[in-house]
Amino acid sequence: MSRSINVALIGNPNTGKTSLFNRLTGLNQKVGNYPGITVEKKEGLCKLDRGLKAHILDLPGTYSLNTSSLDESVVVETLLNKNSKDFPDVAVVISDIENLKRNLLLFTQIKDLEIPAILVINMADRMQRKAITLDIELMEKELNTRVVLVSARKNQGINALKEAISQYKTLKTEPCVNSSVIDPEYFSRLSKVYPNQQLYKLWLVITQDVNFGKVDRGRDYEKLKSSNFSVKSEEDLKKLQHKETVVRYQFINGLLKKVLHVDTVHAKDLRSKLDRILLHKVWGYLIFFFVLLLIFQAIYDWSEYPMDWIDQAFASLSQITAESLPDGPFTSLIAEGIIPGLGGIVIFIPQIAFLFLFIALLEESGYMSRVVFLMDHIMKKFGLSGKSVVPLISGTACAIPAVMATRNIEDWKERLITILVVPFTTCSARLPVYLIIIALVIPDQDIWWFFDLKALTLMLLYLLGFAAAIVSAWVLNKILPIKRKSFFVMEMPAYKLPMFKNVLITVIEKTKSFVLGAGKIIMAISIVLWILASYGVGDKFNNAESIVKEQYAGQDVEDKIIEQKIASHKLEHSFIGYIGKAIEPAVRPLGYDWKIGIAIVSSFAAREVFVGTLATIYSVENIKDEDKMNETIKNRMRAEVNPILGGPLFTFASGISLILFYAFAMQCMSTLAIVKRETNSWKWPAIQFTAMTIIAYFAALGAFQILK
Amino acid sequence: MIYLQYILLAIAAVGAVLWLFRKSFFPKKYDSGNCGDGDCGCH
Ligand SMILES: Nc1nc2c(ncn2[C@@H]2O[C@H](COP(=O)(O)OP(=O)(O)O)[C@@H](O)[C@H]2O)c(=O)[nH]1
Repeated sequence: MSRSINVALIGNPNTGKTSLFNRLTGLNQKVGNYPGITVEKKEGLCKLDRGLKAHILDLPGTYSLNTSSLDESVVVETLLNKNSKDFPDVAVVISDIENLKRNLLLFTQIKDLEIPAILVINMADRMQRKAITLDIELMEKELNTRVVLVSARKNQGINALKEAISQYKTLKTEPCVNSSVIDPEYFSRLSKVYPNQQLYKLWLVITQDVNFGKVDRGRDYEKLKSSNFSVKSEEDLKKLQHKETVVRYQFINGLLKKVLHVDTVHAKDLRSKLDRILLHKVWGYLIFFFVLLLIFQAIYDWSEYPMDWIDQAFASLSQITAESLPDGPFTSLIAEGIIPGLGGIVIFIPQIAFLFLFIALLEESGYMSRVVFLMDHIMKKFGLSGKSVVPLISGTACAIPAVMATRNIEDWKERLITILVVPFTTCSARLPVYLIIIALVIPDQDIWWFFDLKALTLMLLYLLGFAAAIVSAWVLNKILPIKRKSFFVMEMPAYKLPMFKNVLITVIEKTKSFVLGAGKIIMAISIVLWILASYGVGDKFNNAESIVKEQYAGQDVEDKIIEQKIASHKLEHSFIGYIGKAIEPAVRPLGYDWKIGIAIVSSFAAREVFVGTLATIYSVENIKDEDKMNETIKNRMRAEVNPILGGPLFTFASGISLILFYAFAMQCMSTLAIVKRETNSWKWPAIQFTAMTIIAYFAALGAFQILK
Repeated sequence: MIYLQYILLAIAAVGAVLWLFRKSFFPKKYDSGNCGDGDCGCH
């Protein structure tokens, strides 16, 4: 029989909690959400000695138990609620050797809850280089518990940690800090009213309400609430919390003085040298700008070849399918609807993978935090927080995780503004649309010998997204009547060589979710669109052939052209033709025809559907043209003729107009849904949708009318 | 044979429409998925 114990992993953000979790659990992980709230819940299994199994819960990163965000309150909850099935038998508190002082604050708090707690000091591999020495034995004595040095990166100390976990019963639970010194009078009163309760726990329960309402803290809490214990004013409690922190730091300082030695002369302090440059008032921004430039250049250049192969492969696949399956409407659906539609997604895998590769590298190396720091005082001017940079940058992947990433912004106003403006950033779903239009309307040219004009355009579009976000944040900051209260804990991890495994997992994860998530919708929409485009009612559709033939009767026109005209005529009078025509008056001033109108409407399900839609529609139009079957989407779109202007449909003017429309419009139902969830009302998503659509329409209108 | 193709076509069409309908109006609860890290039904 194997027994199982609950282990909670707790630690400040960036201490290597995730890496350690991965080390302990390997692939035995499950990611879900805490019931009712949107905080991620990661669990995993780890085998210990003698048939003991550890059920490991990776709690969200937190700085202290004085919570100020939803993520953090989950930690407090788990530790306070003895009746919860997640209540840990042992808490493993992770700290980082270079940030011990700050990390220990959390440890002392947990220790004072009298939960068996093991202190893990991670990143031991950096000790030598930084000339740090640590007296573990003394530390264990002072802290009254086990202390384990590990390196999650080098896989050192993990076994010792497992050993310590399996001996959790021998851990002492005396507190390190006597919490009653916070306010002796108040605490003695508390202990009189609740003689059998643990004081620090009571204290946490009381102060939780100040920071954070409406969370379920189990029966003890309910009892406390209903007992009407004379609670201090919020302000007093805050002051006492502050005092608690001071008391703890006094203890920690004393401890570290005894056990920790840093030989500053011998430390090869790369960090401060790098920081001096990367955080420089001028160089810092310049470097950030060039990093961005390089990333976009790479996305463009490196992915060109795989993209061409994919494009060709799907075109051939269509052809082979059409030739080898028995003739009929279902075969046509596969060859002309589904395959080209899916091809329109798969083709963007290389670019998306590259983008996430770079984002993961920046995050892993520690540079991203410098960017947050660098941007903080700029962001503040626009009503955002330095922490908004991460959502805005993750917005380049998908607005949904980005909106969710705003949860660690403490101030509600800053958070709301970030949520509202994040959808302006260029998400990966916009990328396919941009790429294809840029390919069509921006000339092949190099600027300054090196930079590709197309790459520059792409980068400008990303900057445009950020600019739109920032400007609207500024406006919102002026008009939203919400008070702000904010403080900012700046997180500055050391620079590190990115861990290959972490980067790889991110890239695979993101790419997979893009392809699978988008793929299903694209498939469904391709099917519907193909049917709508291939069938219709009425004489004009059914007699398309005779109508067109009559039109050209007596003229010397090639058969091929006639066939094409018939297909075109059919499409125009198919179901989708009617839908497109109905929207055409609204989009014509922007320079679009009814086909683009259809694509725009269908992309409200998901933006990346745009390319798939166009691929399907244009493919349908060329159905009778055997030679053209092999052509790629890009060429087909390029050959398209604008019905109003006569010239190519995608001129510079209409292309730019379309790009601008996509840049500004809120075209994602799922984002609206998540905004509703995060703001708890339909008001904000409704405002967001209306405002963004209006901006998009007028930007596109303006661009087309000026450029045409 | 051609009927079979029409039947398959009809099934595909109905399936696709129903699926899209469900996806837009009854989105999956997020707490079942791997949220925050990508696949949150965001596409
Ligand atoms: N040098 C070193 N770096 C580590 C170690 N463990 C994690 N890291 C790095 O620390 C950073 C933060 O790690 P992560 O696991 O994401 O931390 P979390 O935010 O606490 O989950 C990453 O860049 C890791 O590569 C370690 O033992 N040694």
